[in-house]
Amino acid sequence: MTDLRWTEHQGVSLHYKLSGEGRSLVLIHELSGTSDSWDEVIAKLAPGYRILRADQRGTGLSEKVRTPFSIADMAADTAAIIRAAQLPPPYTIAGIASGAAIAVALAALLGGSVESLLLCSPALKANPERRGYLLGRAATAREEGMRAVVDLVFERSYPQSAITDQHVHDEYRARFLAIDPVCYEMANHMLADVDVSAEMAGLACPVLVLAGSKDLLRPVAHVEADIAPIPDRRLEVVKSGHIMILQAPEAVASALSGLYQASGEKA
Amino acid sequence: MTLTRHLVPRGADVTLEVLKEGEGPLVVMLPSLGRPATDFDPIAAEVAAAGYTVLRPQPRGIGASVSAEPWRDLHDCAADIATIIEAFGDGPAFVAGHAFGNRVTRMLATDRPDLISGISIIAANVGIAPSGPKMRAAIRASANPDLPAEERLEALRFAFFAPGNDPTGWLEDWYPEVLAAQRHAGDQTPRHEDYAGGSAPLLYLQPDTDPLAHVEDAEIFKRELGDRVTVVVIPNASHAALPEQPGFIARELLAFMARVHPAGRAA
Repeated sequence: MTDLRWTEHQGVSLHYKLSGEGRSLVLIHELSGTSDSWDEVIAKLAPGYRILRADQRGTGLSEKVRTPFSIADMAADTAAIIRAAQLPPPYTIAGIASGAAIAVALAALLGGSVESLLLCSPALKANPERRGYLLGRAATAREEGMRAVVDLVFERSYPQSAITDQHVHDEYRARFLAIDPVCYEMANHMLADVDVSAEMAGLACPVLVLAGSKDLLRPVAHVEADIAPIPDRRLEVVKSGHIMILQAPEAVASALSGLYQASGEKA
Repeated sequence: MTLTRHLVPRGADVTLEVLKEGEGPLVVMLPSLGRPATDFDPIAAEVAAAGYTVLRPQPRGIGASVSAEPWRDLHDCAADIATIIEAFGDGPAFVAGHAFGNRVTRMLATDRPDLISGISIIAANVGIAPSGPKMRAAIRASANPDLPAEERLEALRFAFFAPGNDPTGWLEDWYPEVLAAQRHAGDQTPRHEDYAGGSAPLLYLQPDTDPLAHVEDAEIFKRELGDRVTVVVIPNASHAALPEQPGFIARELLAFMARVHPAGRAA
C-alpha cells in the first residue's frame, strides 16, 4: 500500500509517497515528470524495498513555487524528505535525466550513508548547444501553456519509435499537459545550468549508469563522456529512448535488483 | 568579492576586528568555541555573493580583536556584537552563530531585539545538560596543539566530524585561551537567560550526527517555541558542520533569509 504524505522544507510544501518494506530505495523523477513516473518500474520491481519517491518542488502535489531553484535545492529537499519519512540508511538512490543530477548531488550530501547509485539517461552536465532550445521551449510554455510545447518535447523524449506501451505513453502525455508552466520554465533554467562534475568526482559508492540506445537527448557517447569523473562507475546500454523508466521499466527494475547482487548482499 | 578588515572600538579597553564582504542587508556570523571567524569563509563568500553585507567579528583574543579583560558573561559577549552592528549601521541584522556562537546569537537576540531581524543557530546544543567528561576531554584534546596529531584527529572525529568527513583542516586555528574565556563567560550565564533567543524568526540548522547538539533537543526546542522556529537537519554532518557541509548551510541560510531578511533592499 502506498502512503501519501507531505513535509515542508525551505518554506515549500513537498509531497512524497512511501511503499513496500525492506531496503531503503529513493527514486528521483525527471524534469517533465512526477513521482508517478516511477510507477512502471515499481510495478516490475521484486518485493523487498522501502520505496520513497517525492514530487519535486513545482511538480505533482508539491507546492508550485514562484522563485528559482537549483539542483542543490532539489537535493536538499530530498534529504529533508528522507528525514521526514524516517527512511533508515543505507540508501540506494536512483534518478532519471535531471533526476540523475539530483541523485548525484544528494549522494554527495549524504556521504557514507549511500550504498549505491543508479543513473538512468542522466543529464549531469549542461549542453551549451541545447541551452537556447531549453530556454526557448520554457518561455513558450509559460506564455502559451504546455500544449504549445508538448509535440516539440515528445518528438525527442518520447518519439513513436520509443513507445512500448501506448497506454503508458498516453498517460505520460496527459500528465505533461498538467504541469505548471511557470515551474516548468524554472526547471528548464535549472537544467540549462546543471553541472554536477565536482559532486561526481567525490562519490564513494558504486554507480551504475544506464544509457538508452535510442535516446535522442542524452546519446550513449554523451553519457559516457559526462560520467568520466565518477570513480567507481559501470555503463550499460538499454534499448530505450530518453524516458527509460517508462519505455524500458523491466531493464531499470532488473538493474536495481542487480545492484544488490553486485554488492554481495541478498535483496 | 573583496574582503576588508575593520577595527571597531568598544569603550577604552576593547577593540574588535571585523571581516567584511559584500553589499546589502547586514548578516553577522559568529564562530564556535575557541575558533576564528574564518571558519565561515566559504559560507560568508556565498552569502555575500547573493547580495548581503557579511560581517564576521573575530572573538576577543583572535586576530586584531583585543581586550584588557576577558568577557564577564554571555551578555558581555553579546554586547560586543551589538557594538559592531551599531557601528556599521543599516541594521537590523540577521545573525548566524555556530556552536558556542549560537549562545551569543541567542543572547544578543534576547538583549537587543531592536538590532535583529532573524537568527540562525547551527549545531546549537540548546540542551541544558552539560557535556559529559569524555566529550569535554575530546574538545580540549582537539584544541591542544601540544598533543600528537593522531590523538587530536581521533578526538576531532569523536566530537566534531561525521564518519567519512576529513577532520585534518581542524588541526589548525584553535585558540585554547579564547576557548577557556568563552567557556567561563558561558558558564556565568544561566541557560534559561538565552534559551529562547528573543522573538525573531529562527532557523535551527541541526547536524544529523552531532554528539554535542542532539536532534531530539532541536525537536523539543521547536515544540516549545512553535512556528517561530524552522528546523532543518544538515545531512552527513557533525558538530563542526561548517567545513563538512558549507554549501548546504549557505543555501539554507539564503533560503530562510529570502523570507525574513531579503537581499536587494533594506530589511
